[in-house]
Amino acid sequence: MNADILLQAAVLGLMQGGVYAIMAAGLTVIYGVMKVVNFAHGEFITLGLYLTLTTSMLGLDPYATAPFVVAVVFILAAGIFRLSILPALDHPQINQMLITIGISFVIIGMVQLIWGANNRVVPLSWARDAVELGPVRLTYTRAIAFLTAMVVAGAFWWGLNKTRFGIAVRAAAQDPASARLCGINVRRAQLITFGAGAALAALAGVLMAPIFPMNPTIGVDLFLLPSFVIVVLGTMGNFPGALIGGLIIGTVEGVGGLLLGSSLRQLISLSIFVAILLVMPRGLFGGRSQ
Amino acid sequence: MAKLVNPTRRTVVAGLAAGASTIAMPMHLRAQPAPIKVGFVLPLTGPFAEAGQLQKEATDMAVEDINAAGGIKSLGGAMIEPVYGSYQTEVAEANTETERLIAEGVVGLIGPYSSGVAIAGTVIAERARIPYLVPNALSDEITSRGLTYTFKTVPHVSQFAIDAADVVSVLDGKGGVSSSTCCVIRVDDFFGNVVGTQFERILPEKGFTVLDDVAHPQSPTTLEDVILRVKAADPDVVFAAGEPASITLLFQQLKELDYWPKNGWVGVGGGYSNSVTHKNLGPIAEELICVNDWFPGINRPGAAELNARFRERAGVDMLGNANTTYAGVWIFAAGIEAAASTDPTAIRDGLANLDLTEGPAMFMYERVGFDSNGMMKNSTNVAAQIKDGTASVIWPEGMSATEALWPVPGWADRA
Amino acid sequence: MTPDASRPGPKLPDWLNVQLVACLIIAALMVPAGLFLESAYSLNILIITVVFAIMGIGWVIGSGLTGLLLIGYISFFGVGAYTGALLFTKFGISPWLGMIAAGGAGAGVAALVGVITLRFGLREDYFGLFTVAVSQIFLVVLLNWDFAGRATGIYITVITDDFWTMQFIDRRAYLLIAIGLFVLATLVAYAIMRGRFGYLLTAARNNPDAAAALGIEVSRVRIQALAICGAIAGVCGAFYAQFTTFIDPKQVFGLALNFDFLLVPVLGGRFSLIGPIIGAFALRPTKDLLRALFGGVADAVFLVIYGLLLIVFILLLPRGAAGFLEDCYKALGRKRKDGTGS
Repeated sequence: MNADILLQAAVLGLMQGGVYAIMAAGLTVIYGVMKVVNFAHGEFITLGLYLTLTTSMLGLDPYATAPFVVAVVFILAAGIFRLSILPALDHPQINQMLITIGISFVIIGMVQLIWGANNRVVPLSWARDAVELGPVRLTYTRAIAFLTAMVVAGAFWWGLNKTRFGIAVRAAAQDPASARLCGINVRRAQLITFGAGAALAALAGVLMAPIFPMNPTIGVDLFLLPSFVIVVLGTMGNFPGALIGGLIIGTVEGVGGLLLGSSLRQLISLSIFVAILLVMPRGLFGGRSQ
Repeated sequence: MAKLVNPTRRTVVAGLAAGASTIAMPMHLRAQPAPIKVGFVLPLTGPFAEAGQLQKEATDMAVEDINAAGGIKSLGGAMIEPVYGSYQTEVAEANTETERLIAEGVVGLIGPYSSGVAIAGTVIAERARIPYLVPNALSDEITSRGLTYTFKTVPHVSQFAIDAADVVSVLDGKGGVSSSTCCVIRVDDFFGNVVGTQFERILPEKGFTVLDDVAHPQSPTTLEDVILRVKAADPDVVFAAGEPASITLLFQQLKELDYWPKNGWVGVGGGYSNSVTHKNLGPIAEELICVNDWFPGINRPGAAELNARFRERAGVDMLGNANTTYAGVWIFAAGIEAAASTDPTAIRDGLANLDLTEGPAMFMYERVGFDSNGMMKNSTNVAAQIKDGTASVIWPEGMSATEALWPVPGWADRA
Repeated sequence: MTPDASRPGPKLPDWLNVQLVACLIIAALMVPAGLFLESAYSLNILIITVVFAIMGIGWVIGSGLTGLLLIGYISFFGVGAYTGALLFTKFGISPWLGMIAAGGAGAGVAALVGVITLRFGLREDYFGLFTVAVSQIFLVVLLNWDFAGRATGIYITVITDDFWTMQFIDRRAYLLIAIGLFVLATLVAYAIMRGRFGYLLTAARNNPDAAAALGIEVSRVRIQALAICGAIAGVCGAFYAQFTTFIDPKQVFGLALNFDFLLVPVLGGRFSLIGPIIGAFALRPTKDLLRALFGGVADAVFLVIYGLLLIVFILLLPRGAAGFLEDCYKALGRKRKDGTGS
């Protein structure tokens, strides 16, 4: 195994990590604000993928339609939240989880009804084109995905910390009762947070659409478990933690898969997952527990 | 074709037969023999539905053809009536459907898609003493367990390894190169594992040094690590097996990373010969060599005509598993014909003693007969190369339609 | 069932006893119903339903009663399935003994999960995600373990009637075994809920700190409950392997089956004795029925309807069907008490 190939694997892993970062960021924001463990998160990625497939089949540029796709998923997710999760927020956690699983079934079924069960590929003529940076070969699509993910995540973080609404959301997350007393509309904050979390997942989907062939169960098959691993690694509910966690897991998986074999790649992230849970259950950014 | 059957009469007969058990009656003495129920266990829904629906299409076509040709003549022209059982992926679910078909009085079973389901289903059939013909599932184990009611018409997985190696040595000779090192890339599921085991065993016997055997998950988030590993090993040839989703991603990323083995890429089995995969990959799939039991372009009697008819009903080529299923129904009918009875044990004996050299099944086979394990004696493979989006047969000699391109140049050097 | 609901009478029997009697009646009714079932198809559905009910009982003990968020429950089932199948196919050990060993293996893994998580203080979501990770680690490890057949799994081929190898051509025998296991699991759960152990668990669930202050070894009772839960799931897994004759890692450690297992007790009632069998009868045949209705046309329609039904019922009955029944029963009791006028 020479150094060039290792470097190539690390760079590709890092690029994948960028996309991991925003999908996990979406999950962690939802958890942070209302402690809902969302097993339907992968399906919002799927929606991003398939809506992009549709816009590109219509001859539109898959990147140009990203805002539209993200907005559609935002509204859809907020509606789903209002109807099925919000009424269960004070129910036991296991109920909420199984409701999100029900949501995941419904979305997978709808996707299959609308787009069919076959594998689909976004038609983009330059999807496989790449630039050579020394020993490293990098496709434009991966580079775009990484950069967009980082910029959007940065903007999101800024919004969460610096805007009035962001502060309201964080207040609602930390102490819903007091937030309510301060005149913050907690429900609205939760609704928008869920929509935004799903929108981040959808954006991850848009960015991956030219990169991956898609099928209706891709969200749960490919992206659900990595999302959870990253969220735990970066401290559940911690936004920058999810971003850094995503980059770490992406790179580690890229290099680890090369060294140990693809089939054992998942074991690496699962081991990190378990180790983090046991040794520092509050993640890398959760401080010392208790 | 199907209009040879008088629909009203058929309905009446079906009505009379409903609820009747399989007690063998001297049906040939009757004017209108009851239809013979044959059960089909297929993945009509779920992740393999794409394949399962094609198999069903092939089944319906075969049954219509058999009935139009006069049904089972030794039973007074009795018609075949297909009864379907559907499963997704769960073996337990498939077992439930198999039991249901047996309860409905089928004289035999045909199917399924996956080897795991076949391994469990054949045991159920053995217990119920009903013949089970397996025209798709490949695992060697299906016929190696001493079951006496199981028949398998598709080549063993080990045959894939043997044939893939032979194809490469023939191509080497023609192309003036020599391939001595290889890597194996396979999906980490049932099929990929049996392929891996057989490749590891047979390729060295055929003179190949296996530099690396890389298994990847069924649903990979990326296959770049696989490609980089193979790139580091730098083999002459890659032998591979997989499912459509992972093959699509693999080839996209091969192009992205600008990697291609020195001489070429040989994929075996249904995933690599899937026409949807070829379509999704477009130009990236060009010059890929795939090994499977049949391709529409094959030079065999009736093949072209049959594929044309199938295309007309199903909209795609008779690939994947449709061709073997179609042939399987004809072979099963030949078994009933030989038995001249609807008693499942008699049909089993009929199948076991078959020796066909002519008939509709010849679009695939030279000769049809089973060994003592129920394995088809003469099942062989064919190799094709993707040219302009379609699989053109390049091996074996007598059946080939096109000259192969070998060695296949890397991405940058292609036209 | 309620002949004297209208007039004053003695106090209604205890709800737990009512549930036990109902469970036993259901079990007793299933025997003749199953024996007279003509089609092996319905029989298969019934057997799988009972398997789900048993799994539900295990989860009620390990998660409902303890308050631990056991999500990756399928680990114990899968470990049991592999233990039984490996012992039988590799060492020729009878599945009857294999089931006992599988119960031990399931209990061992469950206890280990309990010891590790409680030692490291994992609670709620963290506990839940840990159990999911464990199930997926089992999946990956078994996919890479040669002895257990990797992705090709294990198949069991015995084609003669043989009691000792648990192979029966007449599938009704499997129903009887399943019902037997169900009754056993029900009695175990009843004994726990009735006895001191159950009170300790409830105390530990409702207020762990207070329970600890009262001298209850919270961790120990929870680990014990998890072990019992693991034992039930392990036995169930071994039976399932013998019944289906084929297992592979994706089947017995897959998240899809895992969530199906969780839905049964949650829809049926998380703390109840009767919930699992209600949940199993509500879910399993519904699934098969929906598949029969839509299966050939579109698997997708089935998924949408099934998903919607789940959401609606979990929202409407947050404590499950048994919780709703319990409320009705207690309301009946109150009405009757008012009726005595004293």
